[in-house]
Amino acid sequence: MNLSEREDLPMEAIRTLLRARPRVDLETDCPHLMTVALSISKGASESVRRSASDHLDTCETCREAVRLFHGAESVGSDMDGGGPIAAAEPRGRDAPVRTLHWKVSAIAAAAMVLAVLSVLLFPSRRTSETEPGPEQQLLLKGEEDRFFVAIGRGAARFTAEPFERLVTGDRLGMFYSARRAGHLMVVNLDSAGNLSLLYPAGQETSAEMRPGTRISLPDGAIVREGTGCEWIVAVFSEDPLLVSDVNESVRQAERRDSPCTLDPTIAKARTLRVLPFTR
Amino acid sequence: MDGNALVEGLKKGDNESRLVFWQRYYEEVYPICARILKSPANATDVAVDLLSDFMNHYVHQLSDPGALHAYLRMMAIRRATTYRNRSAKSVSMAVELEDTNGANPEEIAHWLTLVPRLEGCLGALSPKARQALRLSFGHHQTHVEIGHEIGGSKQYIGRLIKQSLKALKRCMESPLTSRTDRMDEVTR
Repeated sequence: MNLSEREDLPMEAIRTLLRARPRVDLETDCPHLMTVALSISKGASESVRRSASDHLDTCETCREAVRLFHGAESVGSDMDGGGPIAAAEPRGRDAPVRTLHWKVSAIAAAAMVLAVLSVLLFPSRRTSETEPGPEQQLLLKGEEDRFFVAIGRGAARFTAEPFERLVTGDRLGMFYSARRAGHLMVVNLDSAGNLSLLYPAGQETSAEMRPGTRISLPDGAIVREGTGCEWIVAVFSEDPLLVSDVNESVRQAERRDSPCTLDPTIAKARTLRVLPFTR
Repeated sequence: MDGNALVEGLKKGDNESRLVFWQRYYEEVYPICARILKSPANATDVAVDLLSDFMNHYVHQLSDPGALHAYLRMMAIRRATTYRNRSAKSVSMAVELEDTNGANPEEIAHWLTLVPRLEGCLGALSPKARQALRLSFGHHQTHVEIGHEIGGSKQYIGRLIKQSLKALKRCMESPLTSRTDRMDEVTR
């Protein structure tokens, strides 16, 4: 048919085409999607987040929905206020909320003195945009490796979010989730470029890591005086890595102070988790 | 009308709540769909379907109004992405055409060639006209029901749909070069 020619279309043909326009029927919608949505809303309670996280462990439909949500949000737009999850705003401004639990017992027996703390970004969402996303990121079981920092501040216990503001005296505990065994190392970088090995303390290579969910690390930290941006970098790998090599790579990584971003490239790392903090 | 009252009203089928809900959330959901689908016509379809399905079905599963905003955003992204990734849109339309009209394969093939044209011409209609057409032809709603959702009397919706169909007909019958000009009488 030559589209440039005039064609008399019966009105019924137009009506038929309108009726036949495609429709997305999500017959597999999970009734718990509401809980999942609530858990990424501002002000969601810890119990809701826990419930959503537990549900996500067993529901591919909801996991896919969350993956799509974060993927679309990370592209962002002015109209819906989206932005990269990796550059999310601090809590209190629709920042991502973690669905992690923090156990008091996770605070390490060995305390380390930190000059500065770095914030940890979840790198899979990093884009060139810097506007923060309005809603939090759910961590999905099934993603390769995850790393979390828990904060003890006075009597309060909570899980750190990207760009969390740290206070001198905060006690930090760390834990991870991984689907496969491997090795793990955690380092800290301050705004002055000082590096500290957080885990495994005193060792020269990364430590063996077993697969599991929310496994506490034996080492922890106490926050000391500092200013500016800080980052904690968790390096997951199949084989042990030298602390000196990782330190060098992190030291050379591109970093910015507004917002606090660090983009390391570490050879032979299977996953990098970078959590930014502010002082 | 606050969130709790709105959700309670929707659950009861209150017309004012339906209107408030539509006016409040269509403008939130549509841009998300448009960003993903890059097509005003398709974005309208997905947004309308989502809001209509929510009001008529999913609202009863909503136990906490605080989840509404995030839920609608999440579903908009999910539905729009699913729509975009459909690999057999023409096939599904062919099935629809055959099922509803008993059209023969030649007619179906011909009508399918009109799909891109229809999509373009729909995109040139006003947002309200697109919503009305979708609710009428996609959801088989009466003019009264449509008016309760997007606003307007039964008579207004009837005129809107009638004029929109005429505009679509003119647009689709026009040679390609003048198609945009033919839509200058689009109903607003």
